[in-house]
Amino acid sequence: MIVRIIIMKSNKTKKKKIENLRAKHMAVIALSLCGAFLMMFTDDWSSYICIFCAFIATNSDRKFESEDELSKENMYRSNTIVMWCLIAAMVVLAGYNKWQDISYVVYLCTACLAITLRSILFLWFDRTPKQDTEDE
Amino acid sequence: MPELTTKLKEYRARTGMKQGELAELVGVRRETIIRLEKGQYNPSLKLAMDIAKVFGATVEELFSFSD
Repeated sequence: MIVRIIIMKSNKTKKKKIENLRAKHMAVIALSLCGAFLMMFTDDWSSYICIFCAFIATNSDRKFESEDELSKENMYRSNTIVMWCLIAAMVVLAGYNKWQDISYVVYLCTACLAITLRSILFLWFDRTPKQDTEDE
Repeated sequence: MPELTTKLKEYRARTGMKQGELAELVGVRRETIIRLEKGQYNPSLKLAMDIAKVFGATVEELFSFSD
């Protein structure tokens, strides 16, 4: 065990810096919110770039730490909540669509907000109080 | 509902290992170790066995459920 720790410590300097999952989800929140707001107010190509970047950030695991069982469980919980929210949103939009046509922007904004909510919920479930962490 | 109690922190302090180091050894994030130490997370059997292996202890010595 001690040998493994020593090897791990000696290898520490060689390893490249890996961003944690919280940073990844913060980026996803920022990009998808930017995409939603840009789409709401400008509806030009910049919003599509933001959404594309959010999609890439959501599905990329190259530079980020790999998910462990706790993060998978937290993600499962947030996905479940977001799925029900999306179903509710679709029902509301379908009902509203009966009286008035809804722009495609509303659907795209709903998708962006779902991505944002998913990451916010993940960060909420994954939060760690400061007093529980140790100085490392 | 039975509550998870763990001696993980005690064992870790005994070996002078940091949360991050233990996390790296068993292949999880530091947040998972923090939650485990607080008894807020039920680990999978594999993770429990991996942690027990690191400390040279049994799963029962490290984790227990109290009513």
